Amino acid sequence: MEALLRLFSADKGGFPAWHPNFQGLTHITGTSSNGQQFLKTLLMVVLMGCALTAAYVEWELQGVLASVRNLKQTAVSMSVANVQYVKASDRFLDIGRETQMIVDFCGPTRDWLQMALTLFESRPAEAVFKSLGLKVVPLPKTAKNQPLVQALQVRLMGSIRGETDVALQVLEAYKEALQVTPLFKGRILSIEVSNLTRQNKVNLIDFELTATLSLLSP
Amino acid sequence: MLFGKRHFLLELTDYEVRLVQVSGFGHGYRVEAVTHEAPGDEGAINRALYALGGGNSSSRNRVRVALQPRSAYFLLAPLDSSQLVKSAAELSSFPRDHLRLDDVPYLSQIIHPGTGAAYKSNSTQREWVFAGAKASAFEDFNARIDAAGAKVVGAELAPIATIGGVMDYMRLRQMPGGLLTVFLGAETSQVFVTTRERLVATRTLPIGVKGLIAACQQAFELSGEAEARATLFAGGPAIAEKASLIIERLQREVETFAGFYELQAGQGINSLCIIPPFSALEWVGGIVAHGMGTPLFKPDYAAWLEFQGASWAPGLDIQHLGAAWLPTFSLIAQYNTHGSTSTSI
Repeated sequence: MEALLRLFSADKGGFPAWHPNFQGLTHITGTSSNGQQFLKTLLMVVLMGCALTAAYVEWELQGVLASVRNLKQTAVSMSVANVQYVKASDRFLDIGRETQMIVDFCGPTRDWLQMALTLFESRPAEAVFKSLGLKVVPLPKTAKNQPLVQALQVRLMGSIRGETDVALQVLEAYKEALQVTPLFKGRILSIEVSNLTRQNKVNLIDFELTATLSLLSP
Repeated sequence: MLFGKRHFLLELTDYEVRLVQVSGFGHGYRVEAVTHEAPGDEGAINRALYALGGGNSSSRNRVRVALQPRSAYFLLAPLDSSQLVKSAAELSSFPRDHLRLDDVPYLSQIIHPGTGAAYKSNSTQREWVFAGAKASAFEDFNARIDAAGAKVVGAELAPIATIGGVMDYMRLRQMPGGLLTVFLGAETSQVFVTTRERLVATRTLPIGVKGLIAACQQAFELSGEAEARATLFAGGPAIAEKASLIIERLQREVETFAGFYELQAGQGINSLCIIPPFSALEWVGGIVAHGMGTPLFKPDYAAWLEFQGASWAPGLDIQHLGAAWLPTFSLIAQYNTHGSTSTSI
């Protein structure tokens, strides 16, 4: 009976009251030593750190992805405006070109009257002028990327009385005379005489004098 | 019984071996013989076994042993609700964290301060007794006792076994209030307060037998420690005049703890029990108790054995045995097989 009582009084896996037995005790508290505990704690801290870092990276990535989406939307919404801006820009360029043309056209006209006066004042006595043409022409490009350069072309047609050689002398003199006039000086890109045609009936020689002048004032 | 097993209760301290031969470890045992040998080494165990006719046969000699390793710890501590759900194994780090134990394996037990039962999780009991010592200490003792010619069948910590013993004795004598027990060790001493119902306080005091030896050397202005040791252990009239001087520091430590306990618990210390590691130091108890003005607890083993339903061999003088024998006799005491009831608080 006593043995039974003891059996019941002793806890399951325990010991009789006040007789904790250390003999053959397999449970060793030292298994979880402080050192190991420290390592466990360290491991936990490292794992927590890794997890937190991963979470932070993920969170940041979500933010970046969100901003990418926003920016894409902005790009789409702005592309319509962009097309309009490009069109406007093209229009501005066109207007710019036209404006330039007008400027180019109007620029030389300032001295057209002066030009005509100069040409007529220095007219040789033997010559008569039939027509005077002034126009702005583009110079032929000498290099591929060379910007367009425009020049003022003066085309003077007229007749000279007398023989051909005399006419040539007169015209040569006229050319030289023109080159020293204030309006022509330093501006002549080329000056030549062409289309000399003799009209035997009236003893006249038709000529054509073409001078190309730079648009810039000297 | 020529070829039968022999049963012994053994207490091994640094200074003495105490051996009690019993008829068996079960209820209704009979105390056959009692002896003690100094110092506490293999030779002394062997001599004690021979003295009781045990001989050098570990296959026949079964011993239950009460030990007090230097690495032993003993702590009464409250657990919070998060700890109370843990298993005993999960709580094993608790004393380690509280007492800054060495980083080596310990053998530990958790004990109910009222019933002395093993720890169970999810109990309403908040305070528990944590006790244990280095696993290597138990292994060493085991090897030593085995070498001395006996087989260890149970190893307990002497202070823990003694708690049950003194509580049982208090119930027997219907002792009121608190009993302060000082378990003198070599370098430190375990003190604990018990009522009839439970263990109420524990403390480790930083003084032990070595401190008493040093005090003795100083008191008698002796040159060597061995001489002081001999003088202290001899006791008797030679030491009487300087006795109060020798135990002065021990008494002060015990008084401080008693004062602290009484203040904190609001409960008085009604008697004092001093358990020396060496029977020759029984006189220390009388001096300290006298100095403190507290009655000294003197166990009556005959009454206690009767209370337990045990008997003793005719002609065996157990009445002269002092408090030093409490741990040894506590080893076999069973607290739930006789009249008294243990109540937990």
